[in-house]
Amino acid sequence: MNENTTYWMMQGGVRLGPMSFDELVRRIASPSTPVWREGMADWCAAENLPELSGFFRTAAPRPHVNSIYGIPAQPNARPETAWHPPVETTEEAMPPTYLAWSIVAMLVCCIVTGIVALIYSTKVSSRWTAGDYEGARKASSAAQMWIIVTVVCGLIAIPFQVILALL
Amino acid sequence: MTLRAQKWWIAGGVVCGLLLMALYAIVDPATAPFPRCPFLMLTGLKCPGCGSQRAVHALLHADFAAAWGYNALLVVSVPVVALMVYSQFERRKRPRLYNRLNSQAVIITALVVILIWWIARNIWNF
Repeated sequence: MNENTTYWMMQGGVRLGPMSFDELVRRIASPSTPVWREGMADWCAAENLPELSGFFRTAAPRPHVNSIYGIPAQPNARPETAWHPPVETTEEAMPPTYLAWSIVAMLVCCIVTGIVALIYSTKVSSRWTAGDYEGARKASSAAQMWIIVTVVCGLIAIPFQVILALL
Repeated sequence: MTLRAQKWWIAGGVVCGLLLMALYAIVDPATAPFPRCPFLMLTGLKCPGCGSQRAVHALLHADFAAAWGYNALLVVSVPVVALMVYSQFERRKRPRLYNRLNSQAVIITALVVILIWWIARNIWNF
């Protein structure tokens, strides 16, 4: 593993990353937190990541977690250096931008509201980058709502459009 | 949404997509009474999606030149959107691809391209 390797972790059902090894160490919430880096076939518990071995020297090893991933539990974990989880940050994975659906809605439905969805898509990533996570989530749901509005209006309009086409 | 519900939505979406493709392959939207663009009828201006139905029909008949003539943006969008949908489903395995495709730069580019396309096609009438 070189210093440029990027890591990912799962927290509260969301994926965080990419992050450096240092950031991973800083953020990891428990020895059973699923982590992943390039080259790994699947996620594994943080305590089973070779780079993190020796990081979790807790009083109670978690053999059941180890057994899930097919790696034997370390029998002689030293209890004296108890591990303290860091304070949880509010950051999580970026909410969906719905970019693809905004484009499809614009092209297929011919309804101008599709452009509103696309503008909200841009807000998701800009707010997320700026650290406004709540704003990004709101923009994400707004984008989703406007895509639904566009599609529903498009569907409602179809019969009228067909009638007009027949005239 | 649960994983099970999600699978049903995906299955439904795929079936609808295939049915629509069959419909647009068989019927020519240029002659059949297919929906006409309300924006075009109301304003006399083309919207970014005008010509999409004819373009899809042409694409399904492998007539790329005609499809390009009806709506070039749609022809360009098909592979891009396909890649985006793929990255959406493979977000876990390919997080970097997903993050790149949903970056600020890509979204702004998409918005600008659509707006320029919208204005340009009404000025030069294509």
